[in-house]
Amino acid sequence: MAYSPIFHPSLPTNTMCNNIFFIVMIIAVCMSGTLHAQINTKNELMMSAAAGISVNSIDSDRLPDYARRTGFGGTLSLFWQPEHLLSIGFETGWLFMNTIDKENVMTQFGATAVSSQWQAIPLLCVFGMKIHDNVSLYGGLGYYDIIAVNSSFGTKVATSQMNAGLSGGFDYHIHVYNKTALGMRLTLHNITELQQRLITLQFSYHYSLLAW
Amino acid sequence: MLVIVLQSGCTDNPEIVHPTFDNDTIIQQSTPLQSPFMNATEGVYDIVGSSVNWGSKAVLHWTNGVLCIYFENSGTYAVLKGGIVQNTFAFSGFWRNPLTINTGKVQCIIQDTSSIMSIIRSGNISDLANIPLTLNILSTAGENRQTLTLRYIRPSKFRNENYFIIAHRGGGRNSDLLPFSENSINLIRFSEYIGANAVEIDIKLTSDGIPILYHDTDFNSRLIGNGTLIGPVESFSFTQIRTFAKLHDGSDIPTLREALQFIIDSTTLRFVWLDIKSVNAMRAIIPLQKEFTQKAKEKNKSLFIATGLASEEFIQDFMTLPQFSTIPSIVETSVDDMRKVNARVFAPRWTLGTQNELIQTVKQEGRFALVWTLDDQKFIRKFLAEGQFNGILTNFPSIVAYEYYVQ
Repeated sequence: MAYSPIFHPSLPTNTMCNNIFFIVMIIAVCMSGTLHAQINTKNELMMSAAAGISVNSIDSDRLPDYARRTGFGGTLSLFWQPEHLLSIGFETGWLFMNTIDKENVMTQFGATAVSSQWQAIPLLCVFGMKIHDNVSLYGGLGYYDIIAVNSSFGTKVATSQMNAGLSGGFDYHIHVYNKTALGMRLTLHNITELQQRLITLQFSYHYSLLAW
Repeated sequence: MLVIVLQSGCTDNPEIVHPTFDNDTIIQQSTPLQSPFMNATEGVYDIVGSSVNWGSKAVLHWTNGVLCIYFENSGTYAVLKGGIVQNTFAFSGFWRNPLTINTGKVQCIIQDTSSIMSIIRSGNISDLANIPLTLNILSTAGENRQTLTLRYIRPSKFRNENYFIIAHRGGGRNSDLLPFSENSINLIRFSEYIGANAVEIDIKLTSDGIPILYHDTDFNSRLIGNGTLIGPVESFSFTQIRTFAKLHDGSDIPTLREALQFIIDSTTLRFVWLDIKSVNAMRAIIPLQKEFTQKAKEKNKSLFIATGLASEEFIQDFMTLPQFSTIPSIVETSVDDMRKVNARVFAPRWTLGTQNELIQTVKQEGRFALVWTLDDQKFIRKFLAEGQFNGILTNFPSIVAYEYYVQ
């Protein structure tokens, strides 16, 4: 009788309260309400487009060493800014999650070329708050449609799955014209259901579609 | 919104660190004991003195040469390996309270080997009460926490009866923080040590028609530790699953064939409940059920394998199979459905109560009755004391084992 498996190391469990980023964001949002309490005098419909890099910050033991974790991250958001600080909108986009490409991977069925690509399409209800003329905080809640394409032994399978998640970040921007602003945006996407985290650093472009 | 973000930021997975035994001299150097010692020492023991976390009684049980102890409180169990080390009986292993994250090491060393052996040779097993069994309860890191003294009372009352203690998902759920992943080969082996003599396993079908042990509809982080698969299980071929997915304990997702072969070759389990998770898997499972029932017979092993029919949809599909009434099955819906397919087993959910009159009728027809999924110690005790069932499906076999053997 093989006995050793009884004395096996524990299953990996992620237990640490490690999203300090979100806590800092919350504190900042709370503080901003008192520091910059002001009332807008107009309604506005804003469009924001952002493009940059997306980095998968998942624990290293969840992906092989040769996995690529950095790729393109683009988002498009539409915000309604009512006559108070909090704006509300919708965000979608295309976020790189990871890719694996390796030749001659040995498996129990023999050697094969292995390839895997994961992308995420965020479908989020987003909230934003201007805490300074040039700085906005925002957070999102909703689903990420994860699209995966895996191939091995010459067979490719594409699947997708909706996973709950949320995001939080801030945007620094400068107004360049009456209706236009350019900036930088840092966001953490936490796809909680899948236990995946993406950090995106993007150039952002903001345009006021409508004001009344 | 803020509360949701905060809650999400802090994952609430409890942490458990299972002890490791890489340098354990007892496990590495002991020579196995003979079965007369094991047979004689099995039974119910009093826990002497203060035992707040353990209860007043414990059941000592041997499985495949491994010493398993089930305590009264909350299904706490100890699993020890050992034997003879330099003229002493020595055992080393770990304990776990399955309802909490509490665990640690445990050791048992008996210096007075000659007295025990003379009692066994004389056949006066009740004299074992004069030789207390001392367990040193340690922390995971090996620091001393408590000493427990067990004193033999009597043999296990129903040791040889045909009662099924059925481990859910091959031994328990991932959320129970067992040392192995649910529906894995290692967990099926482990289920015996925590008191099961039967297992329920979940079956899905791959895109190329191979039944595998997997519970959920999709590949997800609950069940897959690392890998790149996501989406419906039926989308992937077996080679892709083996190439891309590993369970949380690092092992492969087993095929039903591998699991049944392992159960026949390497366990003493007596019953396998095949819980089919998609109707299209039925036609691939039945031939394996027949094949391995035959293999068990050829090895002179008592093993009952039955296909679970959990809903009307499964029953309708089952009835399209040739000679379906001769295939051992488990019906969960109603006694009428049970008779319609001539199921060998009726298995209602535990919340319907003991249903003694109905279960009596089922048994009079020469069938079995099992109840699922019963985890609460109070109700387990009630069903064992007042019910007529032939077995209990549970996530905590050690609770059922204690309550069953101590009756």
